[in-house]
Amino acid sequence: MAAAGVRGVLWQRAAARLWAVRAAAPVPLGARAASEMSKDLMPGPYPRTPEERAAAAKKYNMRVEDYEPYPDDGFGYGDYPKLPNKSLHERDPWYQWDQPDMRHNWGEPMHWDFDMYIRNRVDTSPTPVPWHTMRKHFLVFLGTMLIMFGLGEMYPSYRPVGPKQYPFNDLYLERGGDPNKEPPVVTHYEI
Amino acid sequence: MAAGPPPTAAEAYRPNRFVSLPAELDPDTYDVSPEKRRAEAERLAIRARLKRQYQLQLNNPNPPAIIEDPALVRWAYARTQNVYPTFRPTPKTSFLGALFAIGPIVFWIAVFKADRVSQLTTLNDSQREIVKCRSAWRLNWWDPVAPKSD
Repeated sequence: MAAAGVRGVLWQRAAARLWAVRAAAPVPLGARAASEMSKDLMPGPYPRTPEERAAAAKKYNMRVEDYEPYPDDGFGYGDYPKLPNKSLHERDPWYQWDQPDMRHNWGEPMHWDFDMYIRNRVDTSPTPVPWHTMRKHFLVFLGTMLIMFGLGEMYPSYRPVGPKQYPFNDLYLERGGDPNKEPPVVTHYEI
Repeated sequence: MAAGPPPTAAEAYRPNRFVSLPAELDPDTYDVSPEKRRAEAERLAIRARLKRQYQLQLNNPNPPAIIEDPALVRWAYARTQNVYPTFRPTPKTSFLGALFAIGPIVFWIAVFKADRVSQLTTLNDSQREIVKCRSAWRLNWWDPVAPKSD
């Protein structure tokens, strides 16, 4: 029937599209074939004109004034927005996020290093003591300990010791001496 | 030269890329100008629009099988498939690429070579025989130090 014919045509067209995609780019097929998003909704190259910037800001659901792409150094960022490097620890824990564990709302642009800034990993929340103070205290302690251990290795100092003295005539029998023979007398002291 | 005014709390704190400035020390928190309010209002409008879209899909009596997050799809696409098309060989990227790709290989070649040379020059004849016959890289801790006598 017509429905079967349409379904057959659609199947062939889908197969043809998959073939074209496979020939075009050696990338995993599931990445784009599964989503229905068109190419202009996907990240693209660095925006050069103000119109491209406005379009990119709209695409990423951001204000045009807020949108700032990574500098065009050829590192592969494209037009992805440069968001502040703040971890998810700093986001309000009491707000009703759409995804509470990720503290992320649907459609909100994700940081490039989103998977680094999750709450199990890097935490950039403010510290009670400034970071440079903490670093200084830690390096002073570590440096002092290393220097002292190094000096101790170079100039060891311990109480005077002598060779170990064994009982029973220097352990004559335990060292396999003949029990029938008289062991040589050993004295470790002088009176 | 006078010392100048003492540093502000924000300057004394010195946020860097590991810690951010607390909101209490940030002068932006206390900025109530109309421009800032309009910016906040626009951001709120965008957020509300997105939340409405999401809630409509979520509370749909016939919900779709999966509510796809376009931000997540774009993030994954940007990190995997958009890197090669937007990459460009520049002096900086070429230098970094050489440093991280060729650098470790050259470094470890030098380390292993130096170690083997220093090992082999301090061996006596019997030990050198052991290493050569076994074509071992270096003498190991279980190899005898002195030649074994019968």
